[in-house]
Amino acid sequence: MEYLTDPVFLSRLQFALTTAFHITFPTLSIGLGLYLVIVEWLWLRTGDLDYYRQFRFWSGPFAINFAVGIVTGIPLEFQFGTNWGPFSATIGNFFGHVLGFEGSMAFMLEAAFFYIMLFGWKRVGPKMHFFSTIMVAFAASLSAFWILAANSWMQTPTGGHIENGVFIVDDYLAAIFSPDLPFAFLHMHLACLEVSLFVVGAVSGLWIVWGKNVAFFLKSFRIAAIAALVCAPLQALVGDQNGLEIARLQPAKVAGIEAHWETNPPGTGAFWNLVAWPDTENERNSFSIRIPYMLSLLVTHSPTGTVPGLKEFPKEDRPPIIIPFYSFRFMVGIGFAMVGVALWTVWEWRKGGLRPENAPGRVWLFRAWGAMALGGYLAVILGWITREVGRQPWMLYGLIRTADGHSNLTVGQLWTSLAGFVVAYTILGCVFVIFMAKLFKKGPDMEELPPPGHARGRVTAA
Amino acid sequence: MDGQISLADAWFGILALLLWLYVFTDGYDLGAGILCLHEADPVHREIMAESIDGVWHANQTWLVLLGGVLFGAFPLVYGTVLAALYLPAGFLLFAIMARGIGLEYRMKADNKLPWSRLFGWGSVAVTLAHGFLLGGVLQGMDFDGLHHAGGAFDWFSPFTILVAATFLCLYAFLGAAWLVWKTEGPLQHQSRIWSVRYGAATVGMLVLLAGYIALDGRLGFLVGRPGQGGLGAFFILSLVVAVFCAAFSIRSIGKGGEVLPLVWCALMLVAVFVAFGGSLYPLIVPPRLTIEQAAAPPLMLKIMLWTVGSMLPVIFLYNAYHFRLVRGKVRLEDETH
Ligand code: HDD
Ligand code: HEM
Ligand code: HEM
Repeated sequence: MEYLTDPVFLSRLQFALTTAFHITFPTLSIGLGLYLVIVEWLWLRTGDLDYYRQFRFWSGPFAINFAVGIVTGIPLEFQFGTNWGPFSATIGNFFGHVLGFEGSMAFMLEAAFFYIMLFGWKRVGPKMHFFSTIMVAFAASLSAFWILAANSWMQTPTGGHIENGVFIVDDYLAAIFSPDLPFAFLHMHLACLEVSLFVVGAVSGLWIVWGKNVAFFLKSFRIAAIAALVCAPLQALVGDQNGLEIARLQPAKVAGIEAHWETNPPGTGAFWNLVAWPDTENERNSFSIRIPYMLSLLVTHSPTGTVPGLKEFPKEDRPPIIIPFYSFRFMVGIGFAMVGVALWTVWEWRKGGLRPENAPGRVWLFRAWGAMALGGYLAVILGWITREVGRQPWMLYGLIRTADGHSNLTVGQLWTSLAGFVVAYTILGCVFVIFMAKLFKKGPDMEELPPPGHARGRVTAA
Repeated sequence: MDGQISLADAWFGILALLLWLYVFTDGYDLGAGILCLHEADPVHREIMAESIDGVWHANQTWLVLLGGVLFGAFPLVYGTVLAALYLPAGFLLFAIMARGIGLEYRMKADNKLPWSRLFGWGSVAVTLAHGFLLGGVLQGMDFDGLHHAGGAFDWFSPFTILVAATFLCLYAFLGAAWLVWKTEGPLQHQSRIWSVRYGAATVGMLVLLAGYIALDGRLGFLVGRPGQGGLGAFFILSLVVAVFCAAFSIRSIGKGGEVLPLVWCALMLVAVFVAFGGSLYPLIVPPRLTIEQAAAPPLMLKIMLWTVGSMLPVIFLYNAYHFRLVRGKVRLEDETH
């Protein structure tokens, strides 16, 4: 296993583990932050105390999720310097700016208003409070925008050139809005919404099945169901567009994701591999189940569109195949499963399954929501694995190879930090899950009243 | 050429300002964490943690901003120094995690003691990491191209141990002064005692540090006398000012001051920064790398000044608003949110 003593591999593994762990927290912060905006708006509009209590109930998990998001995000920023020093020194002129924007615009905004949103009910009036909630949600999305601008630029580095080992920016806006950004951001943002919606729906479903606070939790479940009905199909469309863009911008990545070796001759359609086992040695698949014309259709939206195969690219420029091939397929599968669950929910709703007297019996529906909540997290991580492994062997696509961006660290140093992260994140993950479960089990405080100065509220029947 | 130098200098100034903001604001909340370990009364510990609950997140964000600005304005420093200080940098990250989790989960836990301990020891660990990192930069390092020419443990030396110990005393001092301002009754009284004790210790450590530098000629670049022993006049003068500020802080504690001790602490820290920053100039990473060499191209610095730079006043504004909201003494019953 020469991998275990390869410094570049160890740093990549560490980066992958730490980002994959981090991303699960922002995903919920972004979506749940918007959910909090919605329920606070409903509370201000309707004066229905349930919405006030919805806010208080969901802001607990939001807070501990947010805290872990912060402490796991800081190591990422610093890893660029510690592990990818030469890369950082070369591209800091641009990349560092973007992280600076993220810090100065998004994180600072978030930090300042977070406290008001959570603990400020007594200290500020309703308008200022609502404004703070909006600011927290806005800042979370803004930080996602900036970090994706940075990452998309690594995928499609436009707007400058490398001169004497330093990236010189010629066109600042072209670098920020790199061609990969629009769909990557849309896709990621929708993913955050989907995960959060399914988490809200799944937790609500748990309470509904227990038969406790059913009316209260049907409110949150319905909000989640309506939003999921919009977001899930939209995600499939956006994901498809994302794929078209990648085929245009990074053809080698798509050939890898699809284990597609030979370019299809003009006038014929490319096969799509549903399942395959690539044999990189002999440049073919040792096993595959194929569907004719499908790949051309998927990637070019025409049955005979040309799709360049892996053989078009020099061996040293080809990405790995197995990992992106399967991570991509599972992500897409989960995406379609989400569409299915959303449709099933509407169907049940129309049949009256979401009435307070019927809902507790719809156990399988709520189980499906639980599965989709977990599946959503999985899809996010799988999507990123597709994207990042498919980018290999480049760190800055076409310009800097991953192996050239690495600091010269010793294997001992790397194992120390890697083991540290594994231990710390295992503990952190367990503690997080225990506390989340505790908050979800404790449930809403149905006696709680808004502090003086805020509307007094009223209680509605379901 | 002139314009270029002044732009890089401006960014060096901004960097110093952000570092000062981070060390000062996170310093007092780390200090409150360190002092938590001294406090036997659980109610007091609760108040101490509560006093920084609303601000530690904002304080820590200066570190994130500091990282972004260092990365953007001095990519060469970011890409070389952090790798050279790999182990203490990693240690800082783990310590920040432990502390943040201790503090944040304490609120939701039934048995608060273990979380409170995690918070306290995490604060000590963050403080030590600060000391070893800054000490590691100050004692100087050499590069071979973009790679560190030195060992993985260079950051561990008598000098950096001294710096780390200084940070412990300093943060405990800041934390005590913060608690004098934010608390009342017996806890405030206790905090006054802590302030005097750790204030004196901080002054002692600063003098010790100066003495060490004066005797070890290799550290001459720190006091404006590269390659020589002794201390530079500028350095001595700034340090004397710092000692006076510490003395004023302690004096105002004796006279029953509320916020004044903390203000004097802040000024003391400014003087220390001026002492080291001013003597080091125009170096950014001793003994060789200068500000100008390490800076991003002038056009990039200009763009960054317009974008990130123009956000800074806005950030100060909403930080000020935030601090106004959490003003006043901390009382536990207040915090039934
Ligand atoms: C799609 C969104 C997204 C992605 C891909 C990432 N992050 Fe993140 N990050 C966030 C969205 C986010 C967030 C939602 O904005 C967080 C979570 C909690 C918070 O305060 O901000 C955050 C926190 C957070 C923090 C702590 C900020 C603070 O103190 O307030 C840092 C330093 C980073 N991130 C840095 C990174 C880096 C260097 C990444 C990639 C390599 C990264 N994040 C991926
Ligand atoms: C948040 C979700 C993310 C996940 C799950 C993720 C996943 C991964 C994976 C699996 C790798 C290893 C690829 C390989 O070496 O084969 C990797 C590497 C890397 N990623 Fe990401 N990534 C994420 C976000 C980002 C973002 C937002 C950035 C930049 C702003 C980024 C920058 C990098 C860098 C610098 C490396 C190391 C060098 C390399 O292997 O190319 N990643 N990531
Ligand atoms: C429904 C069908 C879906 C399709 C066709 C699709 C398509 C894609 C493609 C082509 C990529 C690679 C982009 C690149 O390499 O830059 C990608 C990445 C990704 N996918 Fe999906 N996806 C789908 C569903 C989902 C779902 C349901 C989620 C999560 C809830 C998700 C989350 C992600 C993430 C986080 C990334 C990486 C970041 C990005 O490229 O924006 N995807 N997806």
